[in-house]
Amino acid sequence: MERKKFLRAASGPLALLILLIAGITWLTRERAERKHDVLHVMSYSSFVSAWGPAPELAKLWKAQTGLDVEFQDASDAGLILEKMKLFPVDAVIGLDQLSLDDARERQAWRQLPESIASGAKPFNEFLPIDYAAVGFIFREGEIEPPKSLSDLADPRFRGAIALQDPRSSSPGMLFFFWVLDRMGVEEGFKFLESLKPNVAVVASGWSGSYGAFTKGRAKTALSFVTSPAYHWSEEKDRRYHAAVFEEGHPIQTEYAAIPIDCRSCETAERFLSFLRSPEAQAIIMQKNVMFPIDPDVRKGTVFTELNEPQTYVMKSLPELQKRRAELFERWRAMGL
Amino acid sequence: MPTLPDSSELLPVLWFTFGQAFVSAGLAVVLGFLGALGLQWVGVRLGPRSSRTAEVMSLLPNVAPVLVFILAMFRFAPSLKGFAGVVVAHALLNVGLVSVALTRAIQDKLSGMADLAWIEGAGRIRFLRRVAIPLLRGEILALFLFVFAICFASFAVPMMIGGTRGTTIETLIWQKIRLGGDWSSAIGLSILQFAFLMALAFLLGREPATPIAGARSGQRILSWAGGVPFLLAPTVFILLTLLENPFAGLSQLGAGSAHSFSELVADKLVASFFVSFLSGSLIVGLLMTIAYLDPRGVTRRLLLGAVAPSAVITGFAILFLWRETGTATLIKISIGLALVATPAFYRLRWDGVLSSLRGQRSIAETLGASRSLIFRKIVWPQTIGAACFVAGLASLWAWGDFALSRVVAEGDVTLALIVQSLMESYRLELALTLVWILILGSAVTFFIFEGAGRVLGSKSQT
Repeated sequence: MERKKFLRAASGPLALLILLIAGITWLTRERAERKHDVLHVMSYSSFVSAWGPAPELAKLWKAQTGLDVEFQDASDAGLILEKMKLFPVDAVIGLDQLSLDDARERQAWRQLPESIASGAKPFNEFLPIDYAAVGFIFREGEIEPPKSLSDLADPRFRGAIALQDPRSSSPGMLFFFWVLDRMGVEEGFKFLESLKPNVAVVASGWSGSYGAFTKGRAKTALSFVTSPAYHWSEEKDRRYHAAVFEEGHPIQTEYAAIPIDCRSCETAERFLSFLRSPEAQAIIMQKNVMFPIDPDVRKGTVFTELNEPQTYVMKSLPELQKRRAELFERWRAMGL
Repeated sequence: MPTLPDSSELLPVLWFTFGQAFVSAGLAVVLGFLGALGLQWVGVRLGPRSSRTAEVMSLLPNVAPVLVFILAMFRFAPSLKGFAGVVVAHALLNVGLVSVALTRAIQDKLSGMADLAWIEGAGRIRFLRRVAIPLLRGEILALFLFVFAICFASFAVPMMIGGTRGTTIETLIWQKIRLGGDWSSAIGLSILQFAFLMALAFLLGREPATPIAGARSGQRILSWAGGVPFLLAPTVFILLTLLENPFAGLSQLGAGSAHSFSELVADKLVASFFVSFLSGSLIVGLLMTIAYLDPRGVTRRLLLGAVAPSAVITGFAILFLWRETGTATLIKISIGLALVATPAFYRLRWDGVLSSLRGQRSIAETLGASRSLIFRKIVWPQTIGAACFVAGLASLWAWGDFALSRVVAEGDVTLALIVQSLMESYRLELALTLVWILILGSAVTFFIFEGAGRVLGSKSQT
């Protein structure tokens, strides 16, 4: 009798759980069967998301070639190299120039054929797909924009600047190396020290610092000089602008590449070539809010109205990269 | 082979991690105690339905993305930064959870005594000092350890509010994996994290709990209107931030997406329900298995000190073991969340619940009852309600999780991941609009588990 009662009480949830597991097994098996003839591409979350370029690129690729492409989310761009060890893919998108050496060290990549690799530099395994200079975005009327790196330490920016931590953010790392390269390591740290009263927030990622900026908690944020294009075209808000620095701005370039252990290697090469087509470049430009590699793609869009500042070349970057651990420790200890 | 970074790199991080976690947990418990008195007041004055609503509302900071809370902090306390800022933020984030757990403990353990003391005319402070606090010492220590473990593994709050010195072990683990694929250091740090919490659990020990009281009700002597602001202040901060620009999110609706908005949300809503429901159910299963096995001695201490490794390591471990994608991803996320949450909730409440049944178990064992008979007749009827309540709390977390889900998932499979993606693609306002759906969904799941606990508990007892 007692046992009956107990069984009756437990039978409902148990039946539900069995049904659930059975259904799931059936659903996942079907999915696994469908995956063989698909090109697998890994990228970071905002590229893969519904609001990123991936869904429209997949549609265009299907329309042009009749082939399917499945984008896989690596979470952060920094985790692509780790996640692709578990999920072998045919191509990756989202490596930047600061991670290329590391990428070559940790993974073997396929040399791109001459027809595709004409724009590939510094190594012909990595194909640039978009780029933008990092810089500071401000809203017109709120502040007088900074004119140079050293201007950021001006008292008029007290509690106004949103930055990203170089240890967890690519633009943050680019800004950090930009300062150290421009001013030298010692002077650079003195400058960063002097920035303390002006920094409203140092976020772990771009979304944190840019969110603080758009919500009015900061008056200027480290981002890309292309960021105003989003506000102009999607929000019809023309108050957003990028400050232009007299010394120029470092550029972040995003690359696509094919790992050596690709399964559909020729199709992956075609896909990389497709990424540089004007149609695909237009999608990447609009959805990733970055400049296309081909300048003609910008014609007739708000991207032609954006300031494209002079490029700042970081000459000591290889040396700074080598000293990364030590420099990051100094950054931590600084208490910005 | 796990290794540790140089002491010059590790020690300051360890010191900051421990310091902020210790003070945050202490403050959260103090504020949570006051919040619990406020929650009792709501129950006594406004009735059980209002009390349940206040409970769910106070848990809102555990559902909303942490960035929303940080934005609220920047708005209401812009000068509160550094160590003090981190401590206050952590305490406010956890005060609701502590209040709810303490209220349950008060109702479980002090009902009869509190009613008697009230009738006899005992003063509130005197009752608190002489009866309530000494009897709740075990629960208070468990809650301290629970919040300590959460703050110890915190990532975004220390970094955004604490400045660059606000580096925790969790941040260091992330940095090691992200910047050089240095898994040996990451695993070494994770082991250190585990050992640290284990040592603390052994050090703090655990008071044996007193038996659960029969009737559960709010006690007048332990109700205090002044505790309500402590209970609901973090929720109010978040709601005010969400309401800051209520129509801006709607203007971003559908813009720039390859799919229709309703198509995206409907799909992810079902997935989020699935994940929260499955992870909650798995937690019930795990807790009831623990209840069946009734760990004691060293095993119990090990469970009390157990803590899941960092989200990124747990995520990669799951991916390493099971690489199927699609619907399997939702199962992997649910399993991961259940594994991460179970040790935490064992510390928070389950150990106390099991300890309160030890006397009954011993008598039954002496009389010759088998383990399964004891489980069916004594343990299940008295614990299923508490297990479902804990599962409800865990399901709230599951709705808002993106740390583990992001590593495990191959795309935006849940609503929380959509919210994060929107934040990362300039659409913060739309993300904040979606947070309302997260809140609503999590409240529904919480009530489903709580209701299931009541039904299963009363069915088993009749």
